[in-house]
Amino acid sequence: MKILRNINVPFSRNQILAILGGILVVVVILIFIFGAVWGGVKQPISFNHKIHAENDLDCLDCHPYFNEHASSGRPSLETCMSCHEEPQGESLAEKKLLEYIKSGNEIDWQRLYRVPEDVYFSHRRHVVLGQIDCMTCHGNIGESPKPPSEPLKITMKKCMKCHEEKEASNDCIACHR
Amino acid sequence: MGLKRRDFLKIIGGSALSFSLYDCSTKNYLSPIREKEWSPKVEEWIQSVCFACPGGCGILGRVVDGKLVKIEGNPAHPINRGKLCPVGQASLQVLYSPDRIKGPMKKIGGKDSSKWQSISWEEAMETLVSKLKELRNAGDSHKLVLLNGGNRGILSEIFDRFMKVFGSPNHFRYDFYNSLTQAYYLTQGIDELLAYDFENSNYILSFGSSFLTSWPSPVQSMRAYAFLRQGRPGKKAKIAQIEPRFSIAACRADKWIPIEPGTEGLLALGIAYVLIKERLYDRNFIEKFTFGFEDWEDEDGNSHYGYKNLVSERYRLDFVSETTGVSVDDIVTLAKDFAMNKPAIAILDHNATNYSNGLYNALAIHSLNALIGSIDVPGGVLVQRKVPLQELPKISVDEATKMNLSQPAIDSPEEGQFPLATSTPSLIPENILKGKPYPVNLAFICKANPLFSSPNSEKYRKAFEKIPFIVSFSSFMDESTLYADLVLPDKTYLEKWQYAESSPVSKTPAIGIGKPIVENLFNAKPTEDVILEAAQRMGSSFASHFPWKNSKDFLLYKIDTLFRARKGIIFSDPFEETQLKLLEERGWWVPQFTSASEFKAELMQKGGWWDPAYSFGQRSFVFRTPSRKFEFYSQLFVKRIEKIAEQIGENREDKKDVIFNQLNFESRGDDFFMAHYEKPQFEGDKKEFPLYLYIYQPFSLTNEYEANQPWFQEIMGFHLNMNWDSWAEINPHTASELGIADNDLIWIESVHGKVRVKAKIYSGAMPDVVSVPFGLGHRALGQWAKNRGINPIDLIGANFDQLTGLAMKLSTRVKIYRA
Amino acid sequence: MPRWGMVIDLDRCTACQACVVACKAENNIPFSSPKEAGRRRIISWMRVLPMMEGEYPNLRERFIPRPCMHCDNPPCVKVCPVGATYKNKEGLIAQVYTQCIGCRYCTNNCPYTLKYFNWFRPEWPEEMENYLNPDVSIRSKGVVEKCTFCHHRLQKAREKARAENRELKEEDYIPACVQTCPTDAIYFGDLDDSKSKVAQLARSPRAFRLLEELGTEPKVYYLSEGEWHG
Repeated sequence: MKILRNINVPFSRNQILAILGGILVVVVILIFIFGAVWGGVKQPISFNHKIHAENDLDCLDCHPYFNEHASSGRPSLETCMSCHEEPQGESLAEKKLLEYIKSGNEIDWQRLYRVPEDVYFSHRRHVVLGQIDCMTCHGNIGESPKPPSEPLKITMKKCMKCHEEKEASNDCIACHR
Repeated sequence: MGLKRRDFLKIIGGSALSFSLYDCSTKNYLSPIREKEWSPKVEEWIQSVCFACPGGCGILGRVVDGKLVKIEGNPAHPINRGKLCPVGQASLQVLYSPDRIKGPMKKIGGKDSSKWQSISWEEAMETLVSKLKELRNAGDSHKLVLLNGGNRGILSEIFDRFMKVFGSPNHFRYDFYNSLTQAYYLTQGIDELLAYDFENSNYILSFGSSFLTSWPSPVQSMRAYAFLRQGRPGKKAKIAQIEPRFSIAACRADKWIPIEPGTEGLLALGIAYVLIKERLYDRNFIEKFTFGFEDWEDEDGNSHYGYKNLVSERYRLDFVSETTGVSVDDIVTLAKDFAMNKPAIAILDHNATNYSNGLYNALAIHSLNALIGSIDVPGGVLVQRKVPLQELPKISVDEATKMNLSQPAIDSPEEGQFPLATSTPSLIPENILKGKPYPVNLAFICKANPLFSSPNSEKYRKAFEKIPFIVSFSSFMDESTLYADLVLPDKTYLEKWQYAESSPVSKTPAIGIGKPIVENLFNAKPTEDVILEAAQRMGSSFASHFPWKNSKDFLLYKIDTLFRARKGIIFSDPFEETQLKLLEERGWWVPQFTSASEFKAELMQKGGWWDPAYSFGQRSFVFRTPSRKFEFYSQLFVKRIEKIAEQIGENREDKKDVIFNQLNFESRGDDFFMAHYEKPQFEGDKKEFPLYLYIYQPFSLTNEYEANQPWFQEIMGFHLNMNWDSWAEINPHTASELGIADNDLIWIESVHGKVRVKAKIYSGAMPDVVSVPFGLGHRALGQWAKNRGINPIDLIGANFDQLTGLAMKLSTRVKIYRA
Repeated sequence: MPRWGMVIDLDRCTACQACVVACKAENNIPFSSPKEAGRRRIISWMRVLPMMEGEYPNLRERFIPRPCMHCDNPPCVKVCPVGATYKNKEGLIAQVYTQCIGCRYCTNNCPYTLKYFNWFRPEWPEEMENYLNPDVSIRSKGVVEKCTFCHHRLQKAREKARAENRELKEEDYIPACVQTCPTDAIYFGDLDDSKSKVAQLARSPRAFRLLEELGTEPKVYYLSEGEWHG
């Protein structure tokens, strides 16, 4: 004990408490910050997928590339304008859209799904060649009246499981580049 | 609880710090560069042509969402067939260089200042046009000077026309190959580079020629090399490289013959001696197609010395061997291999002509081709037929302009000086400083950087300071542009409409159409369009000479005649092209299109046109000399001297002497007009400066921007494991005698100055030669080029070839010692 | 299943280094600074090695372009503690950057010294970020990288062939160095397909491989006339 006492402890009891208290506060703040950051993706316009689907619009009408390119594409202002040149209803979202149309600025749609940057993911490969339905990864987004703030959880495990079932390659460099 | 605010802050600070560290490390763990904004990654391939060298290769740009991410060769283009050299590949680093000038600027605070102010294009154009109008209204239009380093295509044509309509004779092009083209002019009457038919040759005798590196059309010559070595089973061509340095061409040749610098022509004469003594020359060709081989008599009955006797009397092998350092055995072997492996060609480039005897070296080397009949035959020296582009409309200007246009240009030599020069840009700075023949008021600089590349750069600097107003059309802030008052940034070739003809060293004429691959990058404008716009603003009669809206319009005008050319073919597949070649060589031609508009649309879509056929035996096309033969004794040379003598204005015999006396040559009889040996003159006393300075261009430093491309900084000295710095190649024995070890810093000193550089011990260096690469040692240009390495031009003086007025870059002696 | 391999004809090569630059452009290889280069930290998946023999004036110089040898018996794979580098079914030696812990065992065990460690953080001036290839990921500081035979091109070529409902053809998949080579000195293809150009050339009497005696079974063959001591 004597030896222990001789060791120069850098903190007093109070200070240790202060540190613990501090950490607690920080954790609370961090949770708060994370909450704000990861509160999800907020789209500039509260887009109603459901109503568009009900009006017989196909996925391809707004996401034009998924049959041909790696990326599926997002609707340009021009695409929106092909129906909304004249107001189609009275929703707040449409009013916002009309403002965009008036100003001519492209709508800054936020990206919801992201694959890590070392992964090569091609929509064409999955949709056209693999014959996978959009819903497999994107769920029933066509029925959502509000844009989702979070993507559905897709992990590498899920990719690999599907690849195994479909007898697609599970070689690392088949996807990682 | 004694939690103090201070402690709390400390802890908060600490954890916040650790949080942020954690954050950026995860964020950057995989990819330091995150996608900034979403883009659809839509990919397209855009056809264009490469302008990084005169070769004119076709390219395909891989463009993803408007950004150029890769350049590949265009498989349809006959010059490169889908292949591309490192220079073309690396053009990405020119296009997207952070050192590009991003918008028009004017200098503020006077000539000496280095302060620039960004201005609008409108203001820039107004300044440009007001300066031009001011000069023209004062009747001084001839006092405009254009220094033009980019010698081809739309820009050169528009500039040329602009200067003529404006009324200035002072459009100068910097031509690398002057002495060489003069030799072709004197012997064949063709003032241009000739083509070598490598693919069909069996033996290449290369006199210092860098045909695998800084060649005018390198992809083509490299392809030919591979074809000669492994593309013709059972028929592998031999190559001998004669050069004072173990260059890439020497490495890849069957035999390297090191030679004393400046004696390349003498070795050629030694080879000719063997060919004549052993009767190995082509008697049939000599008799039919050459002039001046045997002794001959002129109209007045005077007898003249023939090439045959000149060579066999003067160039005995012991003398040749002793002077060149090449053994008699080697000379005999070279001569026999050359004559017995026909078709063979003797080739050269600017390396062998960069001496005081450069023109005679070129004459001696090229005469070998005539000696074995290798001109206008498969596998020999050929002459390209030009692409039949539309001529520009005739110019009609007023009397005042005509007067100014006929003023002597400011590069005019003294009476009788440089008798073979067509243009002597090397005299420009001196004449500007003297105000001779008149002062210069306005200068345009375009793709020329004499402050870096000219041996009289100091004089250029003073001259630039003296010129009241300088406009630079440059993409980069290079040494010369620093002296400009107004900078109008040019677009790079990847952003322009243009056409590229194949270099004259290609036997077939070809033209590639270039489209802008990238648009809207920086606030730069194609200089072609700037000049066209300036012409529009110069008033209606001026503008009427420029009926083209922009460079694309001009391009469409130029290619208008191709439809009616009744030869050639739009780029297509090799089968169709071979088919056409066979037909054309039998005098047939089948039109593919019924209307001009259809033809043009296809031409623009396929990216170019060429004529695969070559017509042999058109003598008057190949020999444009007075005798319609290859002239060992050059009558054109005699005429030129007589013409200059007449200007001197005394009686005929004496007048020639006036010229001869000015020239520091030994010969002044018939031999003066023929290939013969003149002792090369070097600057620096042999005792004090025992070594020759051999300046060469690595492939990775052949054009003006490469020093500012990090990829090239990494690879340029790969043979010696050198990067990001200059080096000097020294023979191991020489180095050990001087106590110099590998990687030591040494001084290289000449009468003109000294530079400090890293020594590299290289077995491929001759004992009395120090080789230094050219291209580094910039004082401006950009972040990767500035103050990196040394410029060997600092070691050489402003010495010019006495006949052609071209700078002699290899005529300096140096000494080296440890720093 | 193809077994991808390469044949490089040294009798055609002129050491122009178009392959080196094409590789750097295709694969987002960061460029060095003079400082990093001085520490021999230049990354160059394709490198031209000069080999000088003899003494002045009887010299012979060979230039050997060297990509990863993609050995059939790869020494680098054996020492990787985390499975970040492995040989796939088509014989490609893969390098998975997210798996790599940067221990550098593999760089030390490669007898050809063709694996490269990222000593410095890859950075490009903002303008130059434009030319980065979106098909290839950017490696971070602290991981090992090497030539991949441009396997991202294989990914895309496979996709294209499938979309056109046909088998993958030899000319569909060409690495960047092969595509640009002005002298056609580099060939690429399936070594197991006896009709392919590479398989034929690999059987040529001019063919040899580097450090063959080590038993690494490299899939990069060289062609050269005359005696060779690799």
